[in-house]
Amino acid sequence: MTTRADIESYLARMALRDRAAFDLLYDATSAKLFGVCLRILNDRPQAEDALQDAFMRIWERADRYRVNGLSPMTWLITITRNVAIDRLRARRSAAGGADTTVGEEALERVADAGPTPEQAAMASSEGEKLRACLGELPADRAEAVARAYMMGDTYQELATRFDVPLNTMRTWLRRALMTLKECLTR
Amino acid sequence: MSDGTDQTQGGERDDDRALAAEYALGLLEAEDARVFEERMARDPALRAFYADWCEQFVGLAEGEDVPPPAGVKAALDAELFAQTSATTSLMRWGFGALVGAAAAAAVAFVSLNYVIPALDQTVLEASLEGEVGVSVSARYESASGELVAARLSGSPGAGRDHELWLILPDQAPVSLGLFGADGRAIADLSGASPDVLVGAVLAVSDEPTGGSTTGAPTGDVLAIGPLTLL
Repeated sequence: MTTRADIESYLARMALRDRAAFDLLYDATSAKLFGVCLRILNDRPQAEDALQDAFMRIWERADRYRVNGLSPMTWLITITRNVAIDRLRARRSAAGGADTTVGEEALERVADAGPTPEQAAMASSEGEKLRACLGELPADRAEAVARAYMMGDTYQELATRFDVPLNTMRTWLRRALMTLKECLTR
Repeated sequence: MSDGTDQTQGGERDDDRALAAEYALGLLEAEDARVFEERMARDPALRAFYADWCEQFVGLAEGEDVPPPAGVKAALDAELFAQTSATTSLMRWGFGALVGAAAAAAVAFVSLNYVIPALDQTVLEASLEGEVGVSVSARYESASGELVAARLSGSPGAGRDHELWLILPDQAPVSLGLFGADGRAIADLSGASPDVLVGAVLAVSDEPTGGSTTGAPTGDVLAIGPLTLL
C-alpha cells in the first residue's frame, strides 16, 4: 500500500532527478492515472499517449509540486486531467466540434449522485461528497460542471448545449459553484 | 474550510473563490487564466482556493484503476533517459537500489589505494542543495586526501541523522559517514584518485540515528551536488 508520504518522498527524490523514484511513482500511480486518461479520452491509444505526456510533465515539474499546496495525488491527477483535456479539445476542434463520444461515464455518475443532504454528510470520500453536493444542484448545472471538468467544455460550448446566452451561462455556473462550495463546506 | 476574512471582503473573496473554480475547471479564456496565475503566485489565499477546488474536482475523475500496457513505460524511459552522460548515469542506478552492490562497491573503494602523484594539488568543491532547506558546502584537497563537508542550513529531526554519500559515475553510493553535532562530516579519501572524484556527486540523506544499516541510503535525499574543480 503506497501512502501519501511515500508519494511525497518519490516526488522529492524525482526533483533531484532520481530515476529509481520515478520508477516507484510510476508503479504506484500509473493504473490510477491511466484510468483518468481513459475516462476522459475514451480511446485506448490516445489515453496511452496522454499518460506518457502526463508522466513526462510530472518528471519535469516534480520540483514544483509543493507550490500550490495540492496533496500529491491531487497534483498528479490534476496534471493528468489537464494533459488529457488538452488532447480532447484538440481532437474536438480537429473534428469540427462534433466529438460527442466521451466523458459519458462521468456524466452518468453525476446523474446517479445521492441527492439528499444527509447522504452528502455521510459521504465517506471527497468524491462521494462532491457527487452528493452536485446532486443538490439543478441537474443541468451539475452536468455543466462535470462537462467542464471531464470533457473540457468551454463556456461557449456549454452555452450552445444548454441553449442560453454566453453571459447567462457564466452567471449560472458561477452561482452554481458558490452553492456547491457551500454544500461542500457544511 | 473556514473563512476568516472580514465581512467587507466577503463578497470579493467569494468572487475569487468562484474564479479559482473556473480556473480549475479550465473555463477561463487564455488571457484571464494568465492573469489569474499571476495573481495566484502572489496571493496565498487564492492558492488555497485553487487547491481546495482541485481536491474536490479530482473526485469527478475517480473510477476504476486500469494498468497501462508495458509499452508506455518503455516509451517513457526511452524518451526521458535515453542519453548517456554523467548526470544520467547518476539517475540510472538511483538511490535505495543495488544494496548489495553498494556494499561491494564500498569494500572495493577502500581497498583500491591508488598512489597519488600529488605534485600539483587538486582542489574540488561541491555545493549541495535540495528541496527541503538542507544545504551543504564541501571541499576536497588531494594533498591531505580529506573531504570536509559543512552543513550550512537544516538539521536532522529527532531520532534521525544526516549521512553523506559519494556517488561515482555508474556506481552505487558509498557512505562517507554522518554529520556530527558540529554540522560537519569529514572523510578520508586518500585512497581515491583525484581524477576519479572530478564529476562525482555528493548527496545527503535522512537516516535513522547512527546512519543507514543497509550500506545504501534508505531515507529521503535531502541535498545533492557534483564535485567540481576549483
